[in-house]
Amino acid sequence: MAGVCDATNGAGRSNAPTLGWDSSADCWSVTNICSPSTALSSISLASESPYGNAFETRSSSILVFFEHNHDGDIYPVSLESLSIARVIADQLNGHLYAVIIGKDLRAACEELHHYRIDKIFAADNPACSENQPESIATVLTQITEDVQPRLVVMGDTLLSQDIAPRVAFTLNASLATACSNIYVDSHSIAPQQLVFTKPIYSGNVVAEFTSVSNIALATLRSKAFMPAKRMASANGDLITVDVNIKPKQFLTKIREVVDDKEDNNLDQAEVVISGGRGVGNAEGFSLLNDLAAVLGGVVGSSRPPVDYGWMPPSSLIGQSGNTIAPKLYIAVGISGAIQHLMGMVSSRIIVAINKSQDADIFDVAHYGIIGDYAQIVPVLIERIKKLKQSKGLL
Amino acid sequence: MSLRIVVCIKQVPDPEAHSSGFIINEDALCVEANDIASILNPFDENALDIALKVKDQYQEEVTITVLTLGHNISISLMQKALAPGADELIIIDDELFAFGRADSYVTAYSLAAAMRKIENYDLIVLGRQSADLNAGQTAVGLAHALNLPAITMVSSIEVKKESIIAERSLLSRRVKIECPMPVVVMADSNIGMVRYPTLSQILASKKKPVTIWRANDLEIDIHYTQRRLVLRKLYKPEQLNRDCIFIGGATVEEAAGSLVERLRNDHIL
Repeated sequence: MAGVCDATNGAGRSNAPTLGWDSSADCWSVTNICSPSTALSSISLASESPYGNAFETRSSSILVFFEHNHDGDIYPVSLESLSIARVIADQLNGHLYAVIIGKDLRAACEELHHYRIDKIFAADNPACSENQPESIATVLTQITEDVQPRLVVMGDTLLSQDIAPRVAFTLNASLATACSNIYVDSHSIAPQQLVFTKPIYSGNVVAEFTSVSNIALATLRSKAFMPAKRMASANGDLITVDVNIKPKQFLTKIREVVDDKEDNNLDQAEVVISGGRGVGNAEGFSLLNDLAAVLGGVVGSSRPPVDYGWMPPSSLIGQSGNTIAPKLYIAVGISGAIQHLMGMVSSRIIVAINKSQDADIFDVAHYGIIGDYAQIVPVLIERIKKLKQSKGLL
Repeated sequence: MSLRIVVCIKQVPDPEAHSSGFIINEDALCVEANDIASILNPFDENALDIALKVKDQYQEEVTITVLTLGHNISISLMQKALAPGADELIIIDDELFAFGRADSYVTAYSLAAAMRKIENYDLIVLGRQSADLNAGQTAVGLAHALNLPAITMVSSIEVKKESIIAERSLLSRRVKIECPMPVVVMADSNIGMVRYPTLSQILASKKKPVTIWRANDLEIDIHYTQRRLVLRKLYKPEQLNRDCIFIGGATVEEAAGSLVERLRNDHIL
């Protein structure tokens, strides 16, 4: 049987302290304690920092962590994070820094120069591939520790769900995940307090949190903001960050990487046709594929078709899947559970096709057709074909 | 080989319950679930499923401990997690873990204290997030608190002699990671709900050992009992009043034609 590593700092552990909630101090109080450890992780001095003058404004600077694909395209959610970070940086009168970590970053860095960013910290190293979140987290922790920003923002993605808690716990920093908004509260007692807004209880309630740590981390839900505007001219200093990661530093070893199908590009699609339990079976989705084909769209799904194995998990739209905002979203046989609505409610036009007039999906839909999709969709395909033919598009 | 797996499972109000059941108490700054059943966090069912699949393979050599932390925890609910094949239940029930009091730090370090008390374990499996606060930090935080490696988004694991090979499911790829035990694994959310127990398994689950601890029974590191994230306000989301335009017609053709016309006018088609 394996042993247990003891990683804690030991403070207050030897005498089994008695705990009680102290509502005035908003923390647990202890009646039998050795000495509470107070020091946050050590802060390196400005003079030792390779980041120059970053420290002049460290209390109000903001870091944005960027993700990109193999072609160097920046993820939309990273540009949305930049958007909100820019608003906050301007309000705090602080600097805005970009962090990008990975391998072969040249194209992505060149792209970043076209956004309003003061400095770009780039850690370009094969040890920091997308499959090595521990390496990326280690580098991001180091940069964050050196820059001492007020706030670190990143998109809510599979990668950030792994690395953001690693960085936060290492730095003893607060982390608010899947935020729908971050804002500066200038009316609070604490001056210019940061407020993190996020849906909880599957979107049935909205909660606002404040941070009590020096550095706050936040991940931002996809499509919560418009992406930052790209400028024609290039600006911003590029600072290369040396990566010092030893191959044996981590206990985990990559044994195999299997590339599945190409990304379905749900995130980028202008038209999404989505099916739910009401589609009835896997074959029903072929009709949805036909509709998507004539509209140049992509097929997605709500939770039940994924659970039943009719559709792959990558097609999931909703709280634990993709959050999208296409120009046109057609929901077929989807009842409209709140978890699903969270993933598509920002779409420009929502059309719902459902047998039941009482389906919740009609609360968010712009247009609704009540009826059997198997009869409606084929006719709809014909009508759209006719329209496209008349416009010379088919 | 003997292997002890600890699966962390949270009791949550059914996230699929109707929105009107989630009532905000502004004075106490909490959400009161009105007429909403408590269920096992659906994300944690994926974690239990991963553990049960290991047990399928190695049978008696595997012990599964279900560990839960919260306040007003229902033993009969948690026994539902025991029924499909887990062996024992440890409940940490304390007012300190009531809604809004514990952030991810308090939760992770309290679970870490429980793990130190449990002492012998090889594998800890947690769900991706809870269906109430949806923070998604506990697995990585617990690993940090115990100084153990963490592997996230895991869809399946294969147990070797002293290590595991975990398959991570990412958007367009799968990555197999080998890691020595003990290790913390965060289950992906697309593994599927836990299997239905048989009637005899349900009856047997009532006789499995249950241990109840309070916060005082744990040696929780006081440095980590102060929240980093403080709840300050709760409110209901803005109701969307889209006034859906229902498109009818004498025939399906008429309805489809009318929809296409409207989408064309909206410059969508």
